[in-house]
Amino acid sequence: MKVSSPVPGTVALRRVSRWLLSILLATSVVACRPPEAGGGDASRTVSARVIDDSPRTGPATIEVEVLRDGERVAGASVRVTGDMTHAGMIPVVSDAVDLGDGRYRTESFAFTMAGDWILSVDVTYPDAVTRQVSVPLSVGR
Amino acid sequence: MIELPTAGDAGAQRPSHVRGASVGFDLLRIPGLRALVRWRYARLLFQIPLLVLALFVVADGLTGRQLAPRNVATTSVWLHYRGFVVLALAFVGNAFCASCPLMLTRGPTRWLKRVTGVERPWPRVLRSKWLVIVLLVAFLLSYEIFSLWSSPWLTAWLVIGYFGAALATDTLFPAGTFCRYVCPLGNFNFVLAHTSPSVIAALDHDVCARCETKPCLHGRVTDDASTRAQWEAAGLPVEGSRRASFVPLDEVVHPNGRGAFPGCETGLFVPTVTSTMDCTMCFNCVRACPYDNVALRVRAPWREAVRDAWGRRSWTAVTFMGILLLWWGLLNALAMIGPFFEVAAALSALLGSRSEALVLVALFALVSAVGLALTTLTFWLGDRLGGARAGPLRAVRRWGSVAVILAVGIWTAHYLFHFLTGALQIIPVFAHFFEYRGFAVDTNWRFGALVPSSWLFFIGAGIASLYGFAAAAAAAAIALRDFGARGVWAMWPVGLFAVAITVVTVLVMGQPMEMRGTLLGPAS
Ligand code: SF4
Ligand code: SF4
Ligand SMILES: [Cu+2]
Repeated sequence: MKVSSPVPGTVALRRVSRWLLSILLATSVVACRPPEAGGGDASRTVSARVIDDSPRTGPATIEVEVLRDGERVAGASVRVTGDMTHAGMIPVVSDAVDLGDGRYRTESFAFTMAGDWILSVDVTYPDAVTRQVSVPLSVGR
Repeated sequence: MIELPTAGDAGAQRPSHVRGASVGFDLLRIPGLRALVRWRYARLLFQIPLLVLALFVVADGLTGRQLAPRNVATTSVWLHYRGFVVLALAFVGNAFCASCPLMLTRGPTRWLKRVTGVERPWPRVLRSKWLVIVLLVAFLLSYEIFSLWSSPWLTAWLVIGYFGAALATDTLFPAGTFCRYVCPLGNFNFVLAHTSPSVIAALDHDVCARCETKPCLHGRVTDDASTRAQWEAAGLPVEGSRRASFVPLDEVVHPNGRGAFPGCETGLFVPTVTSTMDCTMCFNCVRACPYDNVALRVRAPWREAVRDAWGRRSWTAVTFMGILLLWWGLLNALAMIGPFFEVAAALSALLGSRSEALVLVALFALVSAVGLALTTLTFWLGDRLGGARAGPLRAVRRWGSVAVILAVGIWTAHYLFHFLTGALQIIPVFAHFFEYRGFAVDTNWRFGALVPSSWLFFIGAGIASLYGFAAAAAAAAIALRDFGARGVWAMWPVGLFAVAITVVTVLVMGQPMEMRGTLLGPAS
């Protein structure tokens, strides 16, 4: 069927708006919620905590526990990264030392500023499978 | 024949303080610059890179890693964009508006206008800066309430929203409405351009006086003289209520001959321009003027303040916008240090509410009200000491520039602080953009500060003091200008006000920074 067009350009307009609408719908599928990290199988878990209960600006020791099926796993490589929630802040990166029993501990980690931080722990299991967890953290003065 | 609207006789209208003023150095005399600016696609040349950046912002903001320091959206918008804006304003002028990618919606809006034929005049009640003031505070409030700086995703939506708003406004209303009456960013730039060292000016006012159709304002269509009737019958291009005029080819003295050249979209008329307010540095006027009579004049940063450019135009709303930006700038800087959170906690207890939004709205309302009252009182005191009997509104207009200069200092110091802290992070952030999407890029995060962090305080404090000094000097100049001998008395309240604000700013900058997205700590 042929659609007659009373005003030149209306067909084009309709076509463009349909096209725009579909782009909008497509983006809203990805964009209606901020993307989240994570996923993967639940058998491998990583937990991290700052030894000090109320972390402050300055050096901090962070302990990481690497588990698989509830068992601690030694021999993984663990990197701890601290990011502030404001752009332009240089991340603090520290490799954790293997304590031998499935626990890992950073040595030279330091919070450079008070405020909101995100601690990210990147773990590479001995079988090369990787995991990343992030924990929000509030650092005091 | 169509009656061409004209802006009257420019010679008769020329303000007294402009008459005889020499143009000084015209930046467009720099070799190649006039030719570049006159080129039809000059603006596009600067818009394209920013458009590409905006696409990166939206892509990474919506689909990238939601960590502010690792995302193109948050890094480029809250660090680089803001840093470059204040740098350009301090050293050149409103360069961001000049290259604003939002104005690339001009093509689509023109087309939509043609297809839908919906254009209507911008409502008369909105033809001032009051709406912009409301939108500005809404923007600054949502910046704090939603911690926009920490969310790539929201930052991307902000950019999308901006494009949508520009498109909608300039489709439904005359082109340029968005820049002049809606855009909070543009108006922020307009206010801070108060101390920019360049301004549009006419080279020779006599040429303007003889210029019949004022194309710099209305726009022009140029072709062979024989085609005039044809063009006029076809209805020359109309921008809002202004119809372009036909200028025959042999009258145009420079290479921009044939074609349609729009005039000033924000309604500025070159020979009467004394302020950068509303000038987007689009250089439409340079392209449209048939006599090559438009200059980009170098001026002293305090010239606009001392010449009373805003007061002469009775720009009350504009002046209030400047004063409010001073107080909001202080608040915005305060929000980055520890004591702010203690004040917020106290206010929360007082209000009996743990709603962040409520506490922030109350805080903004409080600071705006107290700030306005304090400023007005100081200005009025200055007027009294000078012997003026006019009301507080006249005082606000007289001294307003002093507050604006202080505002420029605070925003510049604050934005540069962030910029200098992490400017080079843009390199790893872009590398990470590709690494995150599976490209074999090795991101090196060690790039960071442009200057050693121990310098940051001194740079910030130096900038604030420089502008503080300029504000105090402007107060003295205004007092002596308006009150003669009594100016020696009148300058004190406002001068001390400038000193006090500067001291507070420097103190704020001296505090250790604390960046929190959560205003109130966990309930105890
Ligand atoms: S700047 Fe050019 S177009 Fe505008 S009034 Fe003067 S001569 Fe005419
Ligand atoms: S046309 Fe208007 S906004 Fe554009 S540069 Fe000239 S005076 Fe400024
Ligand atoms: Cu800040």
